[in-house]
Amino acid sequence: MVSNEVAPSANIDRKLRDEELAAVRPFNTQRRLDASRLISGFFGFVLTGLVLAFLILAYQNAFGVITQLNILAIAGGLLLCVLLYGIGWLFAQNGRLLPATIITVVSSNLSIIAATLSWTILLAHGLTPVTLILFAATTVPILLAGELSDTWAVFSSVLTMNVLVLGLIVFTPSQDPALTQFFQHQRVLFTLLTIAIQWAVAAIAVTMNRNYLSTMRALGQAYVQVQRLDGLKDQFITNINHELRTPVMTLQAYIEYLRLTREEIPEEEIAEMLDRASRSGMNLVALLTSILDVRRIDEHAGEFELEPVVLLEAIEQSLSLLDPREVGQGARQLHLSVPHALRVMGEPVRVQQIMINLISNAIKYSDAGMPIEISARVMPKHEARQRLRRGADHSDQPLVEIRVRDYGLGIPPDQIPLLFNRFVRLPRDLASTVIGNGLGLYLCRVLSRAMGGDIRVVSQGIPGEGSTFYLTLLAVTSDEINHAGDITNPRMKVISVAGKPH
Amino acid sequence: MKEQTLKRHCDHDRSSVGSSRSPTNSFALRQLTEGHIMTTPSEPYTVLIVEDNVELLDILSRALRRIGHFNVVGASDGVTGLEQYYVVHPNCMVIDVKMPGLDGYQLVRALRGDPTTAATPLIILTAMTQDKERFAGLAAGADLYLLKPITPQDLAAAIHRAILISEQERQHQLQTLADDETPSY
Repeated sequence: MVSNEVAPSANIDRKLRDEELAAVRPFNTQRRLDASRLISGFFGFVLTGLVLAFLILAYQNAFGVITQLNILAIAGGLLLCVLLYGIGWLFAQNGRLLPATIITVVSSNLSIIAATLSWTILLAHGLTPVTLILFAATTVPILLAGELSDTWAVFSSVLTMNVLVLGLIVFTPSQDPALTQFFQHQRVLFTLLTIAIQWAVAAIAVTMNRNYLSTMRALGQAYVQVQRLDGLKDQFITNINHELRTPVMTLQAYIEYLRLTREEIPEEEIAEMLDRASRSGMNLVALLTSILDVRRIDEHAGEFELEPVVLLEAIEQSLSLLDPREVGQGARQLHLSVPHALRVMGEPVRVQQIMINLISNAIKYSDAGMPIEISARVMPKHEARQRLRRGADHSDQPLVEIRVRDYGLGIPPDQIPLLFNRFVRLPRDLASTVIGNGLGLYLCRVLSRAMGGDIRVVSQGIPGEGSTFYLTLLAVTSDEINHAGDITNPRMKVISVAGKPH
Repeated sequence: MKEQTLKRHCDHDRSSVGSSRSPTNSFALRQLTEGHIMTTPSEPYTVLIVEDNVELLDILSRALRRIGHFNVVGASDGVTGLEQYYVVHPNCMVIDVKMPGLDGYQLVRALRGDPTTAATPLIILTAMTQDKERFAGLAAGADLYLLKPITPQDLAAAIHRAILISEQERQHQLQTLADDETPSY
């Protein structure tokens, strides 16, 4: 039983996670595509401007003596980056996420490398204040990797930038006298500081990326939840609509029949038809009440105020409240073996409601004259622990098990899992004259769970062997355990359901 | 050859009946019922109702007998319905969809699949309101797809109409076979 319950719920968890991801993924994909498109476009544009500015400045000899080969190399390197940005932009434009983000991140790394190397080596300036500004710019690819891609991209960017900075500081001489002096004393400190800043930026990028993803996941979870509730509600409305149409039509048919034929048909038939019409009206009201009950209980299941209920009294009460229209008339043998003092924690009315449902089901689905057995006991602790539903918060409280057994048709085992759902009636019951709306056992389950218990059924589906419903509810205190063993005083009782006078 | 033509006409008829207008509360239907059919039941038509709600089945049978002057036979599930068909050979069948065992669509398909029963007017009467279900019903081969709740009068009118149309269809069929020319309307 326990393993039966755990397996599907674990399955549902996994399914939920997939659904959440599926709900989030399109948004995330779109965001990264948009960002790639924007950034590659913008960076490409800026870099093109830089190349043009460089060419103009080079033409005006702003960089002093410089070979044409170097000019070509610098412009070519930067234009190559522009080209890469262009390709990244094209991929983003066409919705190709992976190449778009990879190319954008790589080309941002490359353009920083190209700019820095151009300045320090090809223009032969060595380390200058401009190089320091370029060092600050090394954080850009790192942040960009965090924005567009994942942790690995951030790490590879930060490592690339580390190597760049280290290489330049170690291998490039400074031509600026002030800087040369500075580096003589502070070279190690400067290097460490630069690298530390790069890693700090990387840490921030990774954190932001993760925060973003977890927010998205939480939103996805909420979204999926809402969608599911919405679907359930839709289904519920459709079902109600469907469930109401047949009884309404029946009622309408009675009325129309009487209206059009009252002059032709005998007095007794009129009386019978009126009787039946009023009964189907009442059935309709009962159906509406159940539907309302289901909604109310669904909404307020968490707010039950539990109090000790003497079980035997609740059962006696339920017996007196059985509806003769539903269960039919006639006497039944009832074997009742419930300790007198046994109490359960629950709302008295709700405990009664469950018992009424179970007893009337037992009567409805077994042949006239077949006995019904009700017994109750305090469950031993180890058994109780097994029985408790996963996630129930009353883990250490003792449980009372109430057993309702009939000798009717039984329930085919393959149909048992469906039995406690809303509006579920077994195929054979749909064909029979047994009154029911498919809400009774659903209510039993919701109610018993709301009171910290649960309900299950054991049946082989063999006619005559019947089925046994096990209802568990919380026991009052641990001292009940002492009572439970001794005062089990089985007695036989004949219940007869009083018929309504016709 | 004969069967083929018959089938084609049935199909044509079905699609036009199913999609052209709402079957309930239609003025034309009432005209049809109150005008010339209901008042002249020369020989009562036999109607077979297949409905799993026994209470509804009972009152509908009573009402259709009195109001529509039909000879009504009831069956409370699909298989019984199919068996009853071969016993009573109804002029029209009213079929619920959600039934244990053989459901309404399956029953309709079974009847349409057999050449000896294919021409019987079939009416689906159901609580299933969704368009896709309506489509499934008509696609299965029903002549009409009626939604519960519907009054016995309207149901009687719909039955008459379904029978009338299928009779006209048969006449038309005979004529076509007789003079193998384009029929004149």
